[in-house]
Amino acid sequence: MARMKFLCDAERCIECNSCVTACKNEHDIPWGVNRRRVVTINDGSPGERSISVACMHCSDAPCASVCPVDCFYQTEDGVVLHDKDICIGCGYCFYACPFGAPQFPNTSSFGSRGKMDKCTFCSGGPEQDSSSDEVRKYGRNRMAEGKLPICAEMCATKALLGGDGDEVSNIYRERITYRGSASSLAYGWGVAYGKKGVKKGYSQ
Amino acid sequence: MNRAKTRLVCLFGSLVSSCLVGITIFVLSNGQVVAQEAGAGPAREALHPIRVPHPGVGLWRDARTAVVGTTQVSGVDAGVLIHSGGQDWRSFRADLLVPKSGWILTAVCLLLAVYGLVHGTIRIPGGRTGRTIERNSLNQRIAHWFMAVLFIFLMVTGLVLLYGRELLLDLVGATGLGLIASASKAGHNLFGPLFGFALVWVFALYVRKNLYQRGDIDWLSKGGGFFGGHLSCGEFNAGEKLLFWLTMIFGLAIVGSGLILSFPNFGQDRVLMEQSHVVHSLVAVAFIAMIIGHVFLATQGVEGTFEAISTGKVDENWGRAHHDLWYAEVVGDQRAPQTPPVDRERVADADVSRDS
Repeated sequence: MARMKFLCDAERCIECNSCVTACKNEHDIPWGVNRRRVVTINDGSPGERSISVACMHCSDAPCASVCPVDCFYQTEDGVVLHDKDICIGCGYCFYACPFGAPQFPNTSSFGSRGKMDKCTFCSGGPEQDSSSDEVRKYGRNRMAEGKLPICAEMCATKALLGGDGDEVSNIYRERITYRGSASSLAYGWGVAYGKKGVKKGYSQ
Repeated sequence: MNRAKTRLVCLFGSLVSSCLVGITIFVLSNGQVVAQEAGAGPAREALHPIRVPHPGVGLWRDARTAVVGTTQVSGVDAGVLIHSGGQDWRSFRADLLVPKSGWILTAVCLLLAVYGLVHGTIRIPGGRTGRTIERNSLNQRIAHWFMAVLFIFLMVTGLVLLYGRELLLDLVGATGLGLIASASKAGHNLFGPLFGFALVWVFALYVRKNLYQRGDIDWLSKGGGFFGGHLSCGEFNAGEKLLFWLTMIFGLAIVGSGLILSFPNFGQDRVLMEQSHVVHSLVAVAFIAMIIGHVFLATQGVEGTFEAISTGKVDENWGRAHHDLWYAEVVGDQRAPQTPPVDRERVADADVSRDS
């Protein structure tokens, strides 16, 4: 069975935020909750890189391990999901996640956290596939329709890849091979911006 | 006296817990450095020489070490790409806190049970006289029980959140645990700040009686008479004063960190929340261990003690045996002739008990 993964090619990401917008729109995500975000490192300087990050669906998910009520589960595709009916909104998964994927809506005065919400790899939740309950709680289930996540589909430059981990890494490896290493870049930032575009160790 | 040895156990447990706090903070602050150095550098090359490193090695190393980027999404820590500290915190909770604290609390309960069964209750020397003297006013008793009930509630709900997955999940199932834990979290967050108020109230009522007096160090060094012999002390002995001050210190730490944790809408970042959680949980374990010891001593350990906080009055022989200087003061006071004539209006306004 395929293990689903995301990979964002920092050399191609142009910080257009299409992935962010597509995700927000597709799942009717409320204000303040950001399942996906684009982080730009060294903004404005040579060697600026942008990376789109949401839940990475870790094989050994730290969020699942730290949850005090064990509300996480992993699908056959390796997608890490959780049950909002069991979630107590404690925030531990947010502390443990290296990527800051879990998000919490602000439900009442004094910022009490509501149920955790995060990227589902467009796989919905424990409810029946594509039922109205599932759509309301977790957003659209594209995987049940045989499609890939909307963020990866929407990516303007195909920087964000999502799908079977083996295939994604094959694509990425081809790209690196074609591009060459720092000293002999075939294309990318170094070609467009000369030496200044290539910060040491930043060319991929 | 035997109660002092139990007190020493509690004190030792608290000291151990304080050391754990120190060690943990040390580990957490150094953990990241160790993790980074393990990932790159000479040690790695000795095993797998890498002649042509990945061209993006600088980017991903920077991304991992909390270089804060910019993002269009607004939120706390949104600009941080990879937060490695979460792993240290999770390892603290899963590998240190949950297993070790369980053993510490079990050990405290077992030790006290063994001591209680082997040694038994310390009886009032000379038996009860049937005459009583007042020890705690109504105001003081209400404050104590208010704090005590809150403590029990916070302890139970907090332990549900800590041990629920380990102990309750198999018993009540996922949905059941979700309900219990959800209620516990809501209750814990609601009554936590109230415990802060209870601490302030108790502090105001008892602080002047718990200040250092000559003889306190002596009392402690002789283990409160545990090793034989009789020791004089005033209204509260050094062990009780230690309980008071540790309660206030632990209480301050736990309420402070608890407020940071339960009001996340003031822009606290993850590092602050993790540190608060570490402080909160370690202090909670020490606090619970200490209070278990306190409850034991005040009920089973010494006969005639519990009525001090339930009815407010203690037997005269109890006072004579355990707090002789206080007993002499109170009894002496009651037997002294009234000079000058009592001002009826002032007495009527003031609280009846001399002690409050």
